[in-house]
Amino acid sequence: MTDTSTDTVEDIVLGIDLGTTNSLTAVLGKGGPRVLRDRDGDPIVPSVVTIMADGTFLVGKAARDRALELPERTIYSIKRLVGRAGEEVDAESKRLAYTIRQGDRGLARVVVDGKEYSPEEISAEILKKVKTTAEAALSAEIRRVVITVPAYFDDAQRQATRDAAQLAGLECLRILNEPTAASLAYGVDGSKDGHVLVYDLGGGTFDVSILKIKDGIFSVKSTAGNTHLGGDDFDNLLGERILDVLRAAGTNLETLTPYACQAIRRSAEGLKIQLSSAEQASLEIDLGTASTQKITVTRDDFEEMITPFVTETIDCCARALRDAGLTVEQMDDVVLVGGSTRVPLVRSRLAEFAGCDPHTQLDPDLAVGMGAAIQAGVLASDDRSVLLLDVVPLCLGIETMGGVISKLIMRNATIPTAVTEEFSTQVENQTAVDINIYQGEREKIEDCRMLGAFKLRGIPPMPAGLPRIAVTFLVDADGVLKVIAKEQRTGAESSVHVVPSFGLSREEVRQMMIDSIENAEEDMAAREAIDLRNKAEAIVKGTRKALQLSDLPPDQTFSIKRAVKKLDELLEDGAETADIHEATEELSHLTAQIADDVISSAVRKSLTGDQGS
Amino acid sequence: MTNPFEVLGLDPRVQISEEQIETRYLALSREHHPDFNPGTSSAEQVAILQKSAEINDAYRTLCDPWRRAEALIRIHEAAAIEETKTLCPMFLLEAMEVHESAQEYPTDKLPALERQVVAKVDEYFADVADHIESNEIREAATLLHQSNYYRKALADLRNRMDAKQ
Repeated sequence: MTDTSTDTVEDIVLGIDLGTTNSLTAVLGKGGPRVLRDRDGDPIVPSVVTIMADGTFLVGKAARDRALELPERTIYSIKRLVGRAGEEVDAESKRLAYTIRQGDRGLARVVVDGKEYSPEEISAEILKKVKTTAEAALSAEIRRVVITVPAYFDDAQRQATRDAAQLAGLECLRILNEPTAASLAYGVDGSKDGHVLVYDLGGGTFDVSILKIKDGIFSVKSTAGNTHLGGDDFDNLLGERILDVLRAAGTNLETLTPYACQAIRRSAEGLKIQLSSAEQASLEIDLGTASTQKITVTRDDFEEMITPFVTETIDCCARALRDAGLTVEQMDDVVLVGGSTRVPLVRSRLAEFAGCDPHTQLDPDLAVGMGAAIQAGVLASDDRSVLLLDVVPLCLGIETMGGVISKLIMRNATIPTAVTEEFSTQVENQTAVDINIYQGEREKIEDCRMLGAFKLRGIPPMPAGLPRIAVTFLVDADGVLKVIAKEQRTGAESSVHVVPSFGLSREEVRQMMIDSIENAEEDMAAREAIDLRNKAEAIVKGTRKALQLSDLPPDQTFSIKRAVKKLDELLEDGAETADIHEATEELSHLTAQIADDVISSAVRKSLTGDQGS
Repeated sequence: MTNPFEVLGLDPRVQISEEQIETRYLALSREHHPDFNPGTSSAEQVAILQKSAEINDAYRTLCDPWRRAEALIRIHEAAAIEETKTLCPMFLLEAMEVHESAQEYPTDKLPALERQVVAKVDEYFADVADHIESNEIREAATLLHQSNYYRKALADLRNRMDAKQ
């Protein structure tokens, strides 16, 4: 690789909006953020993955097109399952056409052909597709990315997103909150200093963030939201309506095929889109018998159905303002993001709440991706004109004695943020302490999710209560927790091992990386074979040189010479990788046994100036 | 405890404008934020995060006038806060009454009560600031402890007013 191409690879940082329904990418160019498009000029990569019978993946449009044909193999809305476990998985399971179940530690697992896939693996496939689409548009290789997530994503969901990037072979420079990204796209031109409320209603998630923009610094004052509220919920309500009509017409809903369920989901979405511009929408369903069934939904009906959801989003806005210590009158602008903000009721309720018409110049589908590109550009360069100061969305605490949560980090604290707590032992010569970490909206244990348990190890044996272990809880700029521990009296670094309750353990990520290499396409195997040949050739050459320089007794050199000859012949003949590998191992084993002898005699020879031949 | 005034490079005084604090905070954030300081080793990255966290924490402390006053008291006399915690029984009686009215006042009379309590809290703050200025640190600390009861009552009654809406 030449120097110039290395520069290009290092320079480009791709901004990725990894959405529940659709994903897209953008990069920062000279004229500002540029959304990347595929060959057909379409920026959208559907966040859909079809797992084929041979175990290969179809991703994006190709997968979306198979959703009707292969409903049990076509995975959509995977973002709702990332970092989720237990009952949350069961709740999601009911509304999906594909199979999910609780795997290890209750974690969500997608099941196709009896094989389990983690949500991280599915997300990684989407990221790989997004990467290759962007690479084609840019004619350059992409390694580094910024990925957006809902502001209300907790630690486990953020960590899972980072893991997905790693599995896709990408270095994730930053996990960026979606509303914050949108605010960048909105205010980066510097003409909009002031307070803004960003209302982001996507396919599966809702966020609201209150920001202050001043001299290129975007500081988030507060955020609130619901990671399980979005346009999907509106579709589901319309889907229920369709099922009601079918039931009334005498259809046995138990016998509906996955194909039919998927078709109903699509039709429901179609109704919703029509209702954004029309006062009523209708649909004819072919029941496969002599009759067709007509379903009509008026906008009033639809608005009545979705009112509880819309009201919840408005309540979140009020809470975010209260947390920021600001009033709605102090907002200079209200920015709409996410496809679901096209629903007229959402706009009218928000306008009523804010007392002004929302800002609509920004494309609600592209704003987040464009903002990700701006942040990616900042991280790729030395440009300090733009700075984001984001917050942690939820409180972080630890379980103290008696099951009470001791709050360490308050919600809406600006990140990075750190708190140091001191721990001690309760038993004489105790060398380990276990601590449970929780995250949630409030301090009551039932309102929180256990993020994981961490184990302090290597505490020096001392009488009970004497060790003083300072544990620092550090939330980084991605909103992800790091734990660092040190014993104060002896200065011994206690090792901290965090066992996550959600998502993948570090070992699982490593194993998946290894697996993905083993299962990778042929070019990967070919590259390994070349690496092995290069290594084998170097060993043959090196050993011959060493034998020339050394003066070992013939009985020791004989077996080595034989092994060298064997490996050399295999290389000459272009033998199978496995055979070369075996012969290389055999030779390495023999030379390692006498390496010291060879080296010392070689050194002696060179010192005495006797260079052999 | 780290000195938040030192972290932000500000004079240790009660009366500082929020604008002054913010200007220093934003300038320091531009200098130290991990976005601009990627760091090469993981130890270096942790140090960068901790520096940035310290700046964020100092800003949060100084933006809240009460926490700012408490920080000043600690700077002047480290033990003053802990050693003035025992309040006189006369005050505690008064505090109990305030607490009860915040809990039990009929909701229509809450706005009037809110105005009274706000005035009281403001008065406390002016007194705490004066005592710090005249270097009467223990008096300032005692008043700070007393003000806690009024501030708690104010938060409670505002919660009741919010819940009513």
